[in-house]
Formats: sequence, structure tokens, C-alpha cells
Amino acid sequence: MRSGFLSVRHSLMIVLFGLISLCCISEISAETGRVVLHLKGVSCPFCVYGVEKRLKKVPGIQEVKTDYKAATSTVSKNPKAAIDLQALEEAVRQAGFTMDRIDLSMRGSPTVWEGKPALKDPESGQVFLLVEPDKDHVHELLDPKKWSEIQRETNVEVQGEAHPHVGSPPAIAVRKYKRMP
Amino acid sequence: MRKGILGIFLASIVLSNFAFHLRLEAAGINTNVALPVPKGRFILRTQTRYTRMTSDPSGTGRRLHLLEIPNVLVFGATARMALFSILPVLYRDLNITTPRRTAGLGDLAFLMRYEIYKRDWVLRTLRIALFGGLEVPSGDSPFSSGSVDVPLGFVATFQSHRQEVDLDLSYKMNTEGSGVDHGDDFIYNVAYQLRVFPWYLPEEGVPNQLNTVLELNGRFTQRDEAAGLSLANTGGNILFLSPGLQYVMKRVILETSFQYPVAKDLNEAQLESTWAVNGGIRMQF
Repeated sequence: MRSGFLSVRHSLMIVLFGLISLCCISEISAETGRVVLHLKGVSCPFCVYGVEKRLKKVPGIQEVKTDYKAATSTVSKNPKAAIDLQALEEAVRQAGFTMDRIDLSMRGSPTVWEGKPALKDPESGQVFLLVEPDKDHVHELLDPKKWSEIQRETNVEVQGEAHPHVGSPPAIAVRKYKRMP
Repeated sequence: MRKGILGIFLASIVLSNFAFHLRLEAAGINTNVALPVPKGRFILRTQTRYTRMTSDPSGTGRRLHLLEIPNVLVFGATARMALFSILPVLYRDLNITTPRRTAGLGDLAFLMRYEIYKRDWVLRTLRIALFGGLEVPSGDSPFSSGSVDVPLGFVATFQSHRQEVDLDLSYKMNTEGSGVDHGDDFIYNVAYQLRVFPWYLPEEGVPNQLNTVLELNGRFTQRDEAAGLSLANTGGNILFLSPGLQYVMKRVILETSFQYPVAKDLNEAQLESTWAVNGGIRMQF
């Protein structure tokens, strides 16, 4: 028996397709930013709990997973939230420990910020400057050859060490980048 | 007069001879540590300790069984500063000629520990802290010293994922209470911990771990005085060797230790500790 415009079967297929699409979008969103905090001073399981509790209080952070031997905490964020690197570092400090560095894996589209190469997260709109890995704590803008390769793509994944800045977007010292489908 | 002397005698047995002292948020079981408490977080610690004192040099066959339940609440005020409140509950079974059983609260303690040095590496840390505070009488309790006392101390901790060494030194200025000028205490502890399980850390996650613990816990007490005169059967030095075990999880620590006196130099004919055993739990929230 047919309903007005759509049969029951067609309606079910549309609902199923929509659910699958939502799952795919969620999967992509979940991979937009992966933040790995490298910790110093955390040397017992009892210490880990305090660090994780403080990290979970940082706005936008949904989950924290610590690998004790690697001395890292990997945080996953709300896809629509910006990553606050300074707040993450402060959370580790308030737990009584030290942040060594933050590694970031970010997917986005190449853009320009005040004439400088940058990457924009499509979900949150957050912009990251792209710089070379530091030499003597000085970050130079990304090598023009690398930038021209990245600029050709609409969707790239960039991995590197993250650096907060005051008054300008945070930066990623690019170690690796690859084109994403 | 006779009751007053007997009271001083009983108090001196309890207060100057047992192994318990202010244990803060000790990662060593009977030794204080300098490890941080995260800002805004609490740690609750309780222990049950049984001390048996049946070594009676006087030959009169005195026996004392002491059960202590110190309860410690710790708060991380800042990343460097932790605040402690300590409430001990005690039960004493003393047998001189006839048994006397008493229960009550010990002196309350309020302490602050402040980190003065920190050096962090991957999976290792070195911390040094100072602590100080007040011990106040708990009212009419038979275990109350009746005096306001001032503990001051220094703790240092080196901790790696495998081992830990703690050094804990403190001095408690005991004032006059209940007609007695209690002797000051010098407390000295050193602890060593070794992770035995898992021997190798897994590549992922945070494993629960089992530590073996070995401590030396010592206490030197000055003689008490009353009306300007030194009191006999008070003061002296005692040193315990304390092996133990600690099971450390992310949120909870379970621990137990056995204390055996390896050096005793108590003045005159004081009742001496034979051994002590304790078990405890720590939880953070």
C-alpha cells in the first residue's frame, strides 16, 4: 500500500541514508583535531587522575586518555570548539606538573592570515599559523615551497608541535602534511 | 596529687612512645612526601594502626594495646600549596594491675605544606616542600595533650615510574598542657619504594601498580617537665623498620605496613613498643 508521495520502503531508506551520513560527518569531525600533551613529572598512576580531572575542565574538551609509559595525555575536543592551548598548559600546571610540548594533528583548508600561511578548521573556524619547526626557539613562516604544495589542496592534514601566541592565532610547527580526500 | 602523677605517667606512655606522628598525605606509608595535590582537589586518607607495647623494663608486666585511626583530609589550595586537617581517633587498652580501656579523640592538627622546589623530567620528578601548622587539644578527651603545639618540617621526594625515595624531617614544639610541659619531638623518616608489578609498563593506558615499601621511622622526644623539674620515665629515642606494600590505582591507594623497633633508647623504665601494624586507604576526588 502506497503512502501519499513516498512508500514506507523509500521513507526507511531516506532515514537510513541520513543516519549513515550523520555517522560519516561525525567521524570526520572527530578527526578534525587530535591533541597530544607531552607531560613531565607525572610518575605514578595516582598523579594521572589529577591531571585528567583538570584537563576535562578545559572548555571544549570531551575526553582525556593518558598513556603512562609514553607520558602523554591525548585529548579529544568538541568539533565545534576551538583548541585553547594556553588553557591546556595551565590545567597541567594547576595539577602540579609540567607540560613539555603539545603535538597537534589538524585537518583543514589552507588560508591566509594577515598575509601569513595558515590552516582553518572548518568545524570550529579556528585558524592556525603554519611555521617551520623551531630553530633556537625562533619560528619562521612555513617554507614557501611547502606552502605552495599545501595551497593547491582544499583539505589537508597537518601534524606538528603547537605553540600558543598572545594576540595572534596559535601556530603549528609543521613536521608532516598530507592531502585528504 | 597521686591521680595527677598517674595521669602524667599514662599520657607519657601514649604520647612519647608510639610510632605514629603527623602523617600528611604520605606516599610512603609512614613517611610524609612532597608530591603535589592538584588545585581544587581533595584527598581523603584513613588508616587503622594497631600498636602492641608489652616490653616492660620495669618488670611489673604492664601491657598496652593501642588502636589509632588517623583521618586526614587534604585540599590542593594551589598547585604548590596543600592544606591538611588531621583528626585521630584512639582506643587504648592498658593493663597495669587492672585493665583500663579508653577511647577518644587525639589532638587535632591543621597544617600547610608549600612546595619550594620542583624539577620535572619525563616520568620523574624531584620536589622539596616545607610544612608547618598547629596541633590543638581535642577538649576533654583522655588522649588530648591539653597543649597547643607547633610542628614544622621539611620533606623531599624523588619519584620515578619505578622507584621513590622520601626524606621527612620535622620538629614539633610541644607546649604546656594539663600541668605538664611536654618535651619537644624530633621526627625523622626515610622511605624507599619499588614498583614490582607490572615490572614492565604496558605501551598504552595507566596500569595499577604494586609497590614494595621499606621505611625507617624514628622519633626523639625530650623529657617532660612539671613545675620546673624533669619527669622520669619520659623522653627518649625509638627507631622502627617498616616494610610494607602499596597498591596504587588512579583514584585509590591501598596500603599496609608492619613496624618493628630496631633501636630503642627510652629513658628509665618506659613501656616499649613491641611492634605495630597498619592498613589504610587513600582516595582522591
